[in-house]
Amino acid sequence: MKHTIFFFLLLTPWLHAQTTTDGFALPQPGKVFVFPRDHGSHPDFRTEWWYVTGHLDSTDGHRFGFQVTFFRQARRDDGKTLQLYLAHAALLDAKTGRFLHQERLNRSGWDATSSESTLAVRNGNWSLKLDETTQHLHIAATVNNEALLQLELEAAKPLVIFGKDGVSRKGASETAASHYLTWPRLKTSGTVKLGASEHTVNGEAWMDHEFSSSQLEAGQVGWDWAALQLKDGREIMVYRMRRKDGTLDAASTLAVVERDGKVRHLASNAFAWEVLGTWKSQRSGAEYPNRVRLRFEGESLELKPLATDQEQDGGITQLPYWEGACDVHDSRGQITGRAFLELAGYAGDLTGHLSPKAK
Amino acid sequence: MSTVLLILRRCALRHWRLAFKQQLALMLILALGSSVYLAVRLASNAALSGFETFTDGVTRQPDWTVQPLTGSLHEADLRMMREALGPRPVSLLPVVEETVTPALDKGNGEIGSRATWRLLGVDFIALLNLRGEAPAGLGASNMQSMHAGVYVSPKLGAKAGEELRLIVDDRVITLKVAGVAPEVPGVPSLPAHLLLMDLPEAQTILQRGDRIDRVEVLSQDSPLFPNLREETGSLLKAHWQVRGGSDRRQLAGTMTQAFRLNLTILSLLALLVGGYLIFQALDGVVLRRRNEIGILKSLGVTDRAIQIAFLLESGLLGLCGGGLGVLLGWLGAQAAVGGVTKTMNALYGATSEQQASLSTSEALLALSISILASLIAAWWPARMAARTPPAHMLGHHATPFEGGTVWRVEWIGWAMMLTALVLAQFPVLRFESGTRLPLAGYTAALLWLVGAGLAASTVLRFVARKKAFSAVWRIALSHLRRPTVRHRFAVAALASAVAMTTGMAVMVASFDHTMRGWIDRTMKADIYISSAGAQSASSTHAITPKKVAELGQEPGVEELAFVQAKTLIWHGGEVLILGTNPVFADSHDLYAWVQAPQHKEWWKTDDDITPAIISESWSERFATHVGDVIDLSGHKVRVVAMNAEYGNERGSLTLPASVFRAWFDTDEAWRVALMLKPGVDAETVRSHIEAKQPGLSVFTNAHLRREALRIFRQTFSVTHALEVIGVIVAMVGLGLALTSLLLERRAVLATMHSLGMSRREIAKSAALEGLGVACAGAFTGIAAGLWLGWLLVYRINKQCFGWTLQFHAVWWHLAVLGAAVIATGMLVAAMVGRWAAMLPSEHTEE
Repeated sequence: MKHTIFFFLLLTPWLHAQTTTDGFALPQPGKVFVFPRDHGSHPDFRTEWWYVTGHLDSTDGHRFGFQVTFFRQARRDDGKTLQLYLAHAALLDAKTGRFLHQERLNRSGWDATSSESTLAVRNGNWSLKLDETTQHLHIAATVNNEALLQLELEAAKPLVIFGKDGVSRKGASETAASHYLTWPRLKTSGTVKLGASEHTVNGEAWMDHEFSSSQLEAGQVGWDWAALQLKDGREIMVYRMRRKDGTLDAASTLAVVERDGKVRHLASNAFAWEVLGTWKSQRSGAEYPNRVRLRFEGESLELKPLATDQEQDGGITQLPYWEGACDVHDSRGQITGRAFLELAGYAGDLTGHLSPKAK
Repeated sequence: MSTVLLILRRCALRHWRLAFKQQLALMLILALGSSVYLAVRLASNAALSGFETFTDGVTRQPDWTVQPLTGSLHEADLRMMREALGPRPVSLLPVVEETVTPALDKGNGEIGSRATWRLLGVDFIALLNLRGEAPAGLGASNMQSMHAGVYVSPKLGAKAGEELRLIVDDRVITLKVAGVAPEVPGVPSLPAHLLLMDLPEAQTILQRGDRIDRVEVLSQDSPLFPNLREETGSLLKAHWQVRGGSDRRQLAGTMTQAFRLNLTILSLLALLVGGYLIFQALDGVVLRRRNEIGILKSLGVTDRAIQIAFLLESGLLGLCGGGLGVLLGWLGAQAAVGGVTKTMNALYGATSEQQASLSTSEALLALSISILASLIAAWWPARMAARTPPAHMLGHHATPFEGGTVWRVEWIGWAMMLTALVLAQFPVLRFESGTRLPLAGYTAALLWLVGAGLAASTVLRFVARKKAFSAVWRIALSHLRRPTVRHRFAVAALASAVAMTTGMAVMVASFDHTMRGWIDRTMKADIYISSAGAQSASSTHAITPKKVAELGQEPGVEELAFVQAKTLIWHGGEVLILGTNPVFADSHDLYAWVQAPQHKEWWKTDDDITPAIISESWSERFATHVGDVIDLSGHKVRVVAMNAEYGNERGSLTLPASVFRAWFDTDEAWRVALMLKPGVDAETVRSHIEAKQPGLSVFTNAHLRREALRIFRQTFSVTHALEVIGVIVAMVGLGLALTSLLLERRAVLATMHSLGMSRREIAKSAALEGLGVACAGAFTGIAAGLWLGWLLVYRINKQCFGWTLQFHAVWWHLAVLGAAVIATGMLVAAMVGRWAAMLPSEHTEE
């Protein structure tokens, strides 16, 4: 009996390191990713998303920013696990400033599903699939019955795994981490149908695939994130985790993906995120700092949104956030690239939604 | 116009004041006529709206509703649907639906006396994507809060946390009220008797596995997808049964159309009778005011002004009568809605009782009908008043005025009746989804009624042929020999009302007679069992195979048979598909054949075409005949026989049990019949099973027979009330007609009195005159009613419901009706006569 208790006590910390208290898996350092399996779903983790954002130029002179995102969120009640699929689709017509967005929620089943063996996610009529033969991604999505996106994406640079030893930290606590896989540059082509007009488009997209069981830790209220695709062939991924007391979490980071695909991570004190201007939403009342400047290693890059109102109102989840297409300007004011900026947690604390015990 | 108003004020309204009671009686006739029409319309609309909420989906209005061709829909079907639709922005909302009954509502032992609610299972999470198009506040307002249990309407009166004990199929279960769905303006609200549950939980409770009943589809056209609705419909139609969202509502409408039309037509009868009476009353008014009209004309008032003044007066009468009618109609509707709803429930299924509410449009309609009836009835008298020369009007010794010549030509009545005979031979009008309208039949009935009324004067003269020796008789008969328009119309009104009552009595008697024979033929089992929640022919409660097996093992049971049932949409209309054990049915001779099968073992076949029996209603509805091979949801079916089935008018098709099971993938029973061992008391077995199985309703043969007859009789309860109102209106009319006639004759009456005739004799003479009118009305009415009965039994009923009835008239009922009409007529006439005998010769009006 004594031996059993001793063995159990030895095992307990190890068990905690493997799972959350309600039994969801935690990211493990040194995880060996196997593809295409790891492009697919990981239902043993609480939260997972496939996040595609991009910039498209049509042959007739239109410029679009788009986002098609699939979330999976698990809930555990009375020993039963309920898998919910949330999805967001958005389209910005930069010429007119018209921003369309839609949110969708379904339970796992016939109308919302994700494969565990490859990348194949669907929520209603929205889908994201990997063609294993061509290794191309295919997106089909409508926005509010007003726009239809049918896109084909091809990786222009290899897949990146952010973080140290395969784990991207979001906070000091052991659980605040994720596995974070990214295609930083996807050559994109296809059609955008807006109302009755169809546009043939080409452009570049970014895709994150991230899975975790506790993105935020106690004291964190939200995050700012940006993905920059620079004309010189480099990409930058940056996020800062904001704490309730107004300070930044030390886990915030900026990663540079070099032309050859190599990744360099800068610590939170090695870059600066300066807010240059804000925009207040009349709908949610949230004030978003959507003009920012990044300073790192002697570089200064300013993100200028193509339209100020790129807020997604979170009609179903009641979690409004700002996610928008931006141009990147250097210190001389020259456009040096394009970016997507995400500002989350400005219309309310996100802790209750992405913390370990969601009940 | 000022002249018209002056005439109206100085003449018409003065007369109203002087003859207040008479004007009041006229107003009441109009009010009664329009109120009966309004009451029936409101009550049947209320009952239908109960149906509409029954057929409503959870969304505002689905564009399509998808159901399986046969069998069930599974989650795999939903995946296929989504794949078939590709990137089209279409919302698919799977639904499970079951009728449930509150276990505490024990009813009064009658079928249909227990409440029927609906349990609807929908995906609460998916509903969140349809904000504004689905009921609000279903618990899953965000990912964090979801409660198990049912959501109810605030109208149900239950509170969150309470428990509801319900009968689902053959089980009694307890469900917790998870919440009350709030009523939000602009968002569909839950009907009072709808319980909403999250889909997976409902599937578990109803033991459905991954099966669903239907999918509600929302697909709105937009510039992006300009033909989305049509594309969606055609893509889904390739594999499933697809109906337009409004079809579901229309289905209830068409299902009850014949019933509602019958009620409306009956309610218009009171108005028709009222129309006759207004005509004769206004004709009398013209006559009594001829001195005034003559003076006005001599003073230069134009014919047109006089005509307009008369029309305005009658319009005003119609307005007052109609206003009163709206009030009476609304009150009547409150009383009638229960009866109409009960009848619809018994005939067609779970409609919830709704309050009969009065809308402005309905009130205006009733008011317009009253004014219109009044104007139509006044048109001829007003024209006569305007056209008669002043000299004729002013002459005290002018020829007695007998009313318009056109209305004294009896051949018009005979011609109308002849036309009715011809129209009765016309076929029914057929529309999509098997809906039929016996337009020619209804027109024939109307022409026959009006024609019989007009032709009744012939009988009046025949009655007057009687040789009389006493002065009293001679005076009474002399008036009938040369009947005025008022006589004719009093007879016409009475004849129409009696004819309609007789016709309906014949139809009800024929129905009753036929039903008894059919019940004797088909109800041979000792015990009949259904789910306790099965309150109508359309209920979907089922009995599980396990329960069926348990019932078969009851001591005392010798044989068990069960019927399976599913509804299908065929040619756009809902039909009932039954599965039975043909050997059992054959060995007990349970079929009432209209066309027996050629081979005794009809269920056996040499080819791959399924043999089936159709009901007579099916044959009538879809023009399908024995020997036809039809395509039923992809299955080839040969019709081998036709049976009489008075249980539903939608039509049923009976398959051998094995085929039914293969088609629908179910072993659940709809009704179970038990044959008991000789000497076993059915009542004992009944109470034993009912005590053991609280989810089942158990009937002995005798009890079920009583119930079947009660339900069919209940169907006619509203009808009877309408007939009585028709006869009452006619009686009031008779009294009014005599009053008017005696008023016109007041100088003659005074002369007779001075010549030595006692007041008693004058009263007797008036009573005899009334008796003559009542006799003519009653005889003509009963004779015309017998043919009307024939028309209803062999034409209208057959064309509406497809049921062949045996003509049956209960003669003593008709004799009592005739005697009652004659006796009441005489009584009314005697009272009027007594009053008239007291009239001073110079009395003008009262």
